[in-house]
Amino acid sequence: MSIEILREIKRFEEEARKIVEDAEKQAEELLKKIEVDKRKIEEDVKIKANQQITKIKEAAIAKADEESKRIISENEKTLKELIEKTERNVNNAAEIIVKAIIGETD
Amino acid sequence: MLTQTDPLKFIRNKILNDAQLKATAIINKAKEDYEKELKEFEENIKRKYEVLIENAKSEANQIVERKIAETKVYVNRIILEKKEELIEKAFAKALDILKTIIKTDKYKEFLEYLIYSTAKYMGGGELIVYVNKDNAIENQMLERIAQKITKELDVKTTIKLGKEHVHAVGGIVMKNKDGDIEVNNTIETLLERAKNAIRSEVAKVLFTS
Repeated sequence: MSIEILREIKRFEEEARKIVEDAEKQAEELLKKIEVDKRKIEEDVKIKANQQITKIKEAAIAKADEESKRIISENEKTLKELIEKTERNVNNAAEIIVKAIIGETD
Repeated sequence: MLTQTDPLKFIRNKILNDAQLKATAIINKAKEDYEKELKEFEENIKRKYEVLIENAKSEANQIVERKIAETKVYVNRIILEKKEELIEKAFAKALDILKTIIKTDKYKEFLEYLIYSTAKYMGGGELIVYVNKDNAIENQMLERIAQKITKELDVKTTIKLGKEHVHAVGGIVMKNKDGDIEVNNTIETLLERAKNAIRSEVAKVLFTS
């Protein structure tokens, strides 16, 4: 082979080396990008999860308040019934107390 | 020249194609690695936050359960306070009834029994009984009781009416001669004692329909 041909081949090889080097650079860039993308993914997942957690807690607080109000409301009803029912028995109970004190004479 | 250029072109194409193939393989591998790593990372990170979400759900249940438990404790306390109030009301009503009984003959019988049982409890001897200013006690009654105690305990007993008055609705305070033993059996004290003794019975009558 002539020197000219050898030179040409060397140029082709140089060109090929550049193609591979470019590819390696691109690959390297991609690997560098991965850290940025990971942070982005984590940030997205974190935001969505936190939103979900906030909603869960808000819903729980609302449910807890609602349940608490329901129990208090039921209690008010129970208390009202208890007072109404008991008022009728106060005289009987008082008689028993009096009997326990004065009744000793019997 | 033409015969020389064609093989050269072939060589060029061969070298560049090989390089291109190698470059494509490098990039594909990098993309593959990139996607695989990112996918794994995303799955891991999602799992991590799913755990946090599950914890939040569990915490949310605890918030609800805790609030319900606190409210139940609160309402139970309110009911208990109300019941206490109603028991006190029954005792207040009992005091009102006792105030009316004090003006009747039944009270005189009660008072006689009270003086007798208190004197016996004190073991007889020289005793002084105190009543409120509205209760008149006949000396005959005191003598009768003293004789009974003397006989029953075989201890010479005298009961005198104290000059001072007790501040009570009714009942008595009895002291021995030296004043070192005192028994308080006023209506108010008897009611207080009854609160402990018959509280459950009173509650049963009050709260059972």
